Amino acid sequence: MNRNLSAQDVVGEIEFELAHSSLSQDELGQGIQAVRQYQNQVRAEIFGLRGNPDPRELARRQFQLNDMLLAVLHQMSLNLRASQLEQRQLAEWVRDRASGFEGLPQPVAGNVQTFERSNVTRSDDDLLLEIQNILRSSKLWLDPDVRPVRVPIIGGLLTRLRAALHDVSLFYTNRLGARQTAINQALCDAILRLAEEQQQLAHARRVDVEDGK
Amino acid sequence: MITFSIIVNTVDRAAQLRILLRALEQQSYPHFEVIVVVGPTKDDTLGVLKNYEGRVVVERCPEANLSLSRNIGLLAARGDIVAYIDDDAVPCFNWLESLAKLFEDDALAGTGGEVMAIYLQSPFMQHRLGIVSSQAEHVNIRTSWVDGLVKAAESSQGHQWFPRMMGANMAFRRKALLEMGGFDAFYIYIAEESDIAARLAQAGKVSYPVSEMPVYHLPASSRNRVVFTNVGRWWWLETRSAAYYCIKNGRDHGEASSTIALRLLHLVNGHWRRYFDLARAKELGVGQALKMGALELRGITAGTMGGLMRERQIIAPADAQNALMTTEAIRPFQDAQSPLQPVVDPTNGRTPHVTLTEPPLRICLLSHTYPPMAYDGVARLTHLMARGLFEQGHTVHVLTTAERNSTAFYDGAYVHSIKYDLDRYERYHGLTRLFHALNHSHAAHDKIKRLIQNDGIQIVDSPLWLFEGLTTAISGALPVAVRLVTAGAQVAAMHNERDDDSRLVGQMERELIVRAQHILPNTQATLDNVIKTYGVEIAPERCSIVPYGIVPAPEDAVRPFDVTRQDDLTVLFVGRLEKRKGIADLFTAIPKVLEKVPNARFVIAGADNSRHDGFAERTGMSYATWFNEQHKALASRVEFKGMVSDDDLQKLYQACDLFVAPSLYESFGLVYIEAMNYAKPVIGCRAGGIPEVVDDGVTGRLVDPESPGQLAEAMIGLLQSPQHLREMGLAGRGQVLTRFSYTAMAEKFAAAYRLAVGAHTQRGHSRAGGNPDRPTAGFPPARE
Repeated sequence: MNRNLSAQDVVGEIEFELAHSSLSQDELGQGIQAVRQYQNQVRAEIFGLRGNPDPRELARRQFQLNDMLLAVLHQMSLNLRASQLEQRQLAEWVRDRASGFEGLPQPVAGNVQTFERSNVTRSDDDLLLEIQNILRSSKLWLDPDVRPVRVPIIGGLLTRLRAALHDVSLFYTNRLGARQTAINQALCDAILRLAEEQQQLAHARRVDVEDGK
Repeated sequence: MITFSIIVNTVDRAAQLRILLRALEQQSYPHFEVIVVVGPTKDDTLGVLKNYEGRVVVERCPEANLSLSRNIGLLAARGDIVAYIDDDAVPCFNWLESLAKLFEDDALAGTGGEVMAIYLQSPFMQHRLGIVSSQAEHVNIRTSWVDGLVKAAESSQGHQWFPRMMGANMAFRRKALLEMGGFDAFYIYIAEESDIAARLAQAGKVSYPVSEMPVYHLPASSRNRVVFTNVGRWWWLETRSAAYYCIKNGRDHGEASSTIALRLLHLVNGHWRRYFDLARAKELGVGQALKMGALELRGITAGTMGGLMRERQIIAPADAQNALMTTEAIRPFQDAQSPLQPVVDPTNGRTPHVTLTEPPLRICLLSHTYPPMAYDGVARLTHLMARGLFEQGHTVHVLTTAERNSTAFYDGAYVHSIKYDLDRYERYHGLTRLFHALNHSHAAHDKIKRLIQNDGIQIVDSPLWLFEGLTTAISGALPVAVRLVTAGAQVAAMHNERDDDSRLVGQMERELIVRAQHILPNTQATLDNVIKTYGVEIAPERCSIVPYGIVPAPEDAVRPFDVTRQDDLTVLFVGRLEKRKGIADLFTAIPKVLEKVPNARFVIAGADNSRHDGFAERTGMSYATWFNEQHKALASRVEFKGMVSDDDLQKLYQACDLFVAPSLYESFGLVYIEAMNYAKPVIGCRAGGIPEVVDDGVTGRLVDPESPGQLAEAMIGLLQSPQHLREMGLAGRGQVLTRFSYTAMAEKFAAAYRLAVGAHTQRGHSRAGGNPDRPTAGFPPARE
């Protein structure tokens, strides 16, 4: 089979790899997998071993999961912006090639994290706004109604005693749980939307590459 | 338009500060001021700053307290963004430009890029996408987005984690930082940047580091740095800062007091164990260990008391408000001369002595191997090019391969080692050379994309060998210039290799020639050969002949022939012992020469290649053995050295009286120049590029290839004419100084690069230029 390979085959492969390089999902997949694994572990720890989850511990773990999801989301958002930039450049490249203009620019943005503002579409802005809103809404937890007792060493114990005395444990658990669930839901929705858009871009790019070049 | 205040905090680092200020002249984004906050200095820091009077804002900090110094800079700042950089670091070319793009997002309060430690011996990534917990645990490098976070979270029982920037490369919206009161001056040196990360998170502000816009860091010694590098009397500062941090931020982020107390115990326990281990390993005396233990207690006590009892030592709200109210504009650092400043060596501050009339270039050289790890032909040439281009004032980046990714500064160039994975082009797995070369070319291109983004490189120079620059040439991201070194197709033809791997490698080399912006043969003969080998046409306007150059030997090392000498005359041959190098012709000529010039002796240096060129198969002997068998009586006059080290080779050149290399073909013939460097006359053949190097009758003699008679005659003629030996030798030395020096070579390369960049730009494809707002017109073209 190799005997039939030509220089044009190899060049075509390079062009395909160039077009495809920004759409690698490997790291993203690993990131999501890592978050999922950690979430399962946290779930088992909080709800499996202890009968009465500590609201502070629950919130802490939720924040960590939020951070992880935000890290993934942020990277996806940046990748999407890079993809859009490359998509535009690819379109120019296709156009130039069609008009017989050789030695042309291919996308260079790749996974870089800073882009021209003008390349960000409205939908990107919405997504970023969404991330920011999530970040801001998560701050709500930072003003708890019961403040920790600021006594060294035994402060935590006193805080817990106070909490137990007022029987607010369940109240906070439920309230925080509801909030965090909403945040997680928003994050997941945003991730899904990003993933969908990236898939569409990937598809569009492959069609472009396979069709014209 | 976003404006910046670059804040540099310094104490007794005059030399490093000088380097940084020189490097800032070259920033692509011009809208910035520089504020240098000088601590209680004892060196020439103020003298350095005097040279920048009117361009740099100088503030004084009464004590060696980094947080306090940072706050003084913050209060003096007038830019929208304050960017902190260490005095022993230099930023990448597009540092501020990238930051400006990030800060176009109004919600962003803080960010920062990578920090690369560029020591030659042990370069490493110091910081990338860092995170820090509310209990002062750091993950400085996250390889994957959440890997570090997951690991850290598992090991720390659920502490809160935040994105963190490193102090050497961090930037904040000035308003956001002032509203938070700036840095907490309790931190004399360590953890102040982590504290800011925690407080930004606490305040609900958005901040995150990015994995681009690096600063290149050469951590210099300081009183405080002893904390990290040695067990010294300042170690306790780390404990003090960490304890304070854990209490303040632990409380703010809802950590239980018991958790914080446990963490403090862990800190002290960890350090005590370290002292104990060091004492046990006899690296620390018992008394010293006890003293360190006591200091540890001092640190934990001071940090804990500070954390529990003291308010944060931040900027007073009124002062912050005043600073925010100011309407004063920044004082621009760059002036009309800034774009014409030559590059500076970040390791020693050396700047080439050149006066530039055009802005220096930013060049990327590709070389699969590179000194000091390897010294093969391409590696040596690339190294010399890098050195020469540096001497011309240009910024040079070299991409080479290694077992791990790193960046170091070596001998005039940023050397980026890249580890390439074989994760693409699976279809060609069975074609080993092609498979590796394609993957390597793609990995190089990935790095080139980042160098475009961060360092604003304008051109890529690739050797033809294994088509390293092909992916970039196909992408059109930058103009690619191709050095026509001996290529895979030529070697394959020489060895009669006709397999698919060789065929496709050759075809890819051809693709590189076709797609390159500019072609750089070293001689006309090389160009002709390439045109013939690859069947390509190369228009004259996209071709520049650049003869290779070498480092001229110092004058006192040069040994022109002494005409009064009466002793033995040494003839030197350097090259592989094989047919192509004309060794057979030399063997035929030697007896004739010795017959006429009995006081001649021959030194032959080079590896035996008789097994590969069929000689051993025919004769059953190596070249040396064969000669000694055939000419037993002459054995004492002919010495075979085998392969010699570079140092020994230089000594051989220096000690000889005549150099001979009757190669049947050389694309260039570096050996002739190396001999001419020591004022030695040379003899070569009228073949390939040799006549373009050896000036017949001026610097030596040329004979027809495979003509041992002519060769003998030429040697005899010169050996019997001391005057010619001297005059031709000196003429050769003159040619080295004027035509074949590495700086002359670099000058020609740079001129060719400018042509290529210009042609690429004319077609509207440059992305690598500087900022159009830089002070002087004529700066390389702006981004699209």
